[in-house]
Formats: sequence, structure tokens, C-alpha cells
Amino acid sequence: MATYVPGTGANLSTVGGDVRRSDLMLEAATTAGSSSTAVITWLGYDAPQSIAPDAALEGYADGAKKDLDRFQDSLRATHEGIPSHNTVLGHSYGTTVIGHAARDEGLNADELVFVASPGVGVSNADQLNFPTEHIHATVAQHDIIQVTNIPGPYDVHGPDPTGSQFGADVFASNPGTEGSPYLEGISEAAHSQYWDYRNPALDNMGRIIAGLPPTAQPTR
Amino acid sequence: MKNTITQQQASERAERYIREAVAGLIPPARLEVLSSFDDSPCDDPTDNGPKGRVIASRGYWLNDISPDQHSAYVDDLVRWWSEHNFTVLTDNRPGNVYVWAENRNDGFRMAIQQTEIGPKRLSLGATSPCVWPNGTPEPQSP
Repeated sequence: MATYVPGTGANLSTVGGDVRRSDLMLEAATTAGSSSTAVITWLGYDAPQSIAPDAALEGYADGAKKDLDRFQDSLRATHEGIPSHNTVLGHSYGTTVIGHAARDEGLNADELVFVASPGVGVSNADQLNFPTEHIHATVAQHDIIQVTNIPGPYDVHGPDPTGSQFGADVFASNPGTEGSPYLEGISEAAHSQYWDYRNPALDNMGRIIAGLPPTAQPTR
Repeated sequence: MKNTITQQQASERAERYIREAVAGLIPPARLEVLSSFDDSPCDDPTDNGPKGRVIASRGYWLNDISPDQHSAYVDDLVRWWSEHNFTVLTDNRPGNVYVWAENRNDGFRMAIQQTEIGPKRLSLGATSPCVWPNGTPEPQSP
């Protein structure tokens, strides 16, 4: 079972794309060998509709954390038999929501996954009340989200969870579309290519959901 | 913004790549549908890129290949790819049987994977790059 928490810009008119991402993650878990999986798109919060200024505010994450915590508890409560392997996976600002929920409420799940995160509200994985070996993170080499993790006024949500000091398990993703060399190759497109069909990041998300270890990101 | 092939052409080509690859390999695999998406969104609410592009993809289980033939089958597919203008982008063998390749001419990508839990099965997928549904850029909102 996996819960996908989309990020900035998510709303009911765009949810089709997020539901398709859940379909793709379901297939990735299936092709890894998982025989009984469901992936739920969780849009139970008011997602910020822009990177600037909305997503720099913490109120959105704090408004969502209790609801996400309750939702994970309800998945456990309604499941019969052997406890299912539950993954909570977020993209972009959705990772901040997950981080705040884990930090402040505790999350009843088996794996946390942070894809393209601007920061998750803590400076180290051991502050998330969760076994750190089950906290996974990735960011594409060319993903523009990395500018939110440069120390300074825009680094409001904490360090990049793929950083070596953070302590999460960093898994591989494709570099993504390479942007202008004047911007060191970063691109906005790379922020949303993690769900391109069958690409390495999606393969790894499927592995984590299926309870398998992902492929590690080669040292850059 | 450039013209692209149409969504229908993208779907057809993804399908064709899978069938041509499988037809060129031994043993002959029996295809079982995993997924068929003609219109996966190719944009993100905040990427500020042109909206409206889509990706077409096809995924199949490859049945009737016994597990002890999987390794040789994947080797043969990788060789087929090299003979058909595909470049391998990622190869996670031997730890994880997952190989991902891209066609140098048209940007289509394919991946083969073996399950790691339960019965050993191979699956093969193909995907188009981002395309405009009708092949020409859609009018953008001001």
C-alpha cells in the first residue's frame, strides 16, 4: 500500500496527472514482483499553488500533518490480516507535508520516500521519529528544486534530504532534462520527470513500495 | 516549440518497438498486457513549460520464458537494442535485472525488468518522448 502526496500546484483540476503517477507507481511495484498493491493519491490538504511565494511558507505543511497522520492510522485500522507494507511517498512540497507529519505527529508506516524535496522540516533524518534506514530520498541532477536548498533566505524547509549529512537512504534517479549551462544545467522539466515511464526513479519507487531496497544513487 | 509526432503515432510506435523486439528474440514470448497509456501528462503544474504534451507508453509481461532463460534473453535484447539504434542508459545487473535504453533517433525509451519477489517474470515496456496530441504545439493560456 502506498500513499502519494503530490506537491505544489496540486488541486482537483490537475489531479488526473497525479492519479496517473499513482498508476505508474503501482505498475512499478507490480513489475518488481509485488502481487497485491494499492497506490492512493492523497490530496487531503490545501497544496500551495506556486513555488513562490506560497511554497516557502510552512503553514501548508502544518495544516496537513494531522490529516495525513490520521489517514495512515486509518489504513492500518481498516486492513485485515498481516499488516501491509505501507509507504508514504511525496513529491516536492508533498515531502514537506510528510516531514512535518512524521516530526510532529509520528507516521504509522513502513517507508518514507522524498522525491525532489525542498526540505522536510528537519535537519536530520533521526528527527522524523522513523527508522532512518527506511527513509529514502532522491533528486535529479538537473532538478531546479535544488535551488531551494542553497543556504540562505529561500532555504526555509531545511536541508535537502539527499544530502550526505541528512542521513537518509539516497536512491538513483535519472539526471533529467539538462537546462542552460548558465544555470549549471538545472531545469524545471527535471522536477517532474521522475514518473516518466520505466525510468530509474520510478523503478526505485516501485521497489520501495514492494518492500525491496532501491538502487543507490552513484556518487556524483 | 517544435512539432512532434502525434499522440496516435507515438502510441503505435511504442507498440511496434515492443512487438519488433520480441519477434527478434528467442524463445518467442507471449505478451500479456500490463499497461497501455496514451496520454500520460508531460508537464507539472509548476514547470512553466508548454502545457498539453503527453507521453504514450506500453507495458507487457513476457510469458512462456522459463526463469533459467531470463539472463540470456536480456542479453539478447540488449544486443537487439544496439543493432536498432538504442543506447543503454541504465543497467542495474547483476544486482537488479533492470535495463533501460533510449533510441538515438526518436527518443523512444524501452526497459526490461525481472521481478524480484515471487515467481520470476520478465516485463518489457516502451515509452514515447513528450509529444503534442496533434503533432503541433497547442495554444497556450496567456
